Amino acid sequence: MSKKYAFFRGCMIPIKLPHLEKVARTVLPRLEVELVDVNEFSCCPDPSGFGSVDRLTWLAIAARNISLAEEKGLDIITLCNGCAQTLCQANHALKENKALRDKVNGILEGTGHKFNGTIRVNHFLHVMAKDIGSKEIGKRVKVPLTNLEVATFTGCHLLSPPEVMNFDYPWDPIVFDKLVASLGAKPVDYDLKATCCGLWLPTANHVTVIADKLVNMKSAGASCISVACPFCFQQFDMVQLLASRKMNLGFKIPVLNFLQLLGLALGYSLEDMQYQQHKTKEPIFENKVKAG
Amino acid sequence: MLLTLRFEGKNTLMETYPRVEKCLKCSLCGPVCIVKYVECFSPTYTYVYDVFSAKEPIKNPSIWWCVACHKCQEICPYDVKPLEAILGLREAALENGFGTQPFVDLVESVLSTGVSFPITSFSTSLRAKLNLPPLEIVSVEDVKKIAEKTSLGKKLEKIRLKELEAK
Repeated sequence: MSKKYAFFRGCMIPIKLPHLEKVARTVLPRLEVELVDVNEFSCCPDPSGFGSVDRLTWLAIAARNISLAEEKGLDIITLCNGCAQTLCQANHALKENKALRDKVNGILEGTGHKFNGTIRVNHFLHVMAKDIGSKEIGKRVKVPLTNLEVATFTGCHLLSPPEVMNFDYPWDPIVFDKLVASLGAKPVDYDLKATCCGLWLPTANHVTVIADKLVNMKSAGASCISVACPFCFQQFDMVQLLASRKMNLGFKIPVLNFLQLLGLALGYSLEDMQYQQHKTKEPIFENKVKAG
Repeated sequence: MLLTLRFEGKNTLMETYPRVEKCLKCSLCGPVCIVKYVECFSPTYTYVYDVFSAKEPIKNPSIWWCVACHKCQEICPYDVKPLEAILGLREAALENGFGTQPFVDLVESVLSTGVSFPITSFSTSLRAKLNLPPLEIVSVEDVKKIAEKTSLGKKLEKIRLKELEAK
């Protein structure tokens, strides 16, 4: 039976990487995840930027977003680690702390919304791993990805703080690997798997961050990388080109959002999964997918 | 209690974040912190130490580099919770009119449009090509009401005034 979720698209995916929204809208309904658009949603806002300079405004905007889903009686599903962390943190803090909840609801007066703490906030990997489960996903696979060795990168904002995100071990994440294995692919382990993608560093530095991770992924035998966050996607897809040039890496590792990998395993083509929109492409990987 | 004049900034920090006092500079946070990639840091001069030992903590440009990945907090054996201090310093910096441009731009974008990034012709045309629904942002008025109640607009105004004074 299908389950409806309030679809929190965020800002990064619909504005900068809309092809990933297309993939989500194509693949998720195949697993009976029904996406309900809520046009009134605003930016989450992001936890490390906005959330660090004015916590109260950040909490109130997040609470307003959560209340919109509450009014529809739906749990939230997000496609972004940043949105997931903001909404999970706000949901957690406001459910736990009545004084804070009253204060935030006071701020929300005049908007016509109120936080009640009645719903759950999910990153799409929460839904995959906990609501649907690897076994069930495995049963749906039509084209097992047995040719692919996948380096998963969960991303720091989905891992931490673990007591709030309730997803995986922050130092040795394994949930994403299990999901990849359920598609028939082989997850590979590598050093620096649990540290940040370096998004906010100056360009010269994040090139080095990505290059270090890529070298480790390559040594582990990865034929592609799988991510769960649009910011991590951009780091590994676009910055990889800069890293490859500047550090003379001599190899490329394509990056796919987990939903794109899932789509391939469900029988969609690379083109259906919008691979043509990516910056980092590698014929060896493409041939492996086609041979599967 | 003032320890030394040299660490006056750290004393100020400890008044708000008493856990900072527990930091013994063991440097365990250094290798797991992504800001270590910025050249001025090293295993013996970590990012967290830089934040804790600045003369004027809220004016220290380093406070804006943290991505809030939580790793320092999770590995710290003394429960110093560096992230709490770093995020608190950013909030205090904004309160006092010291915000860096990317952060101010981000906040202003959310308050004025409801989203973090400008909606460009690229995204509009690609969305149409992919048969995705057009982006309709209908939340701006509520976001503005919230920011008015929390006085965030006034804080941003303070930063703009400081910028004008500097010019």
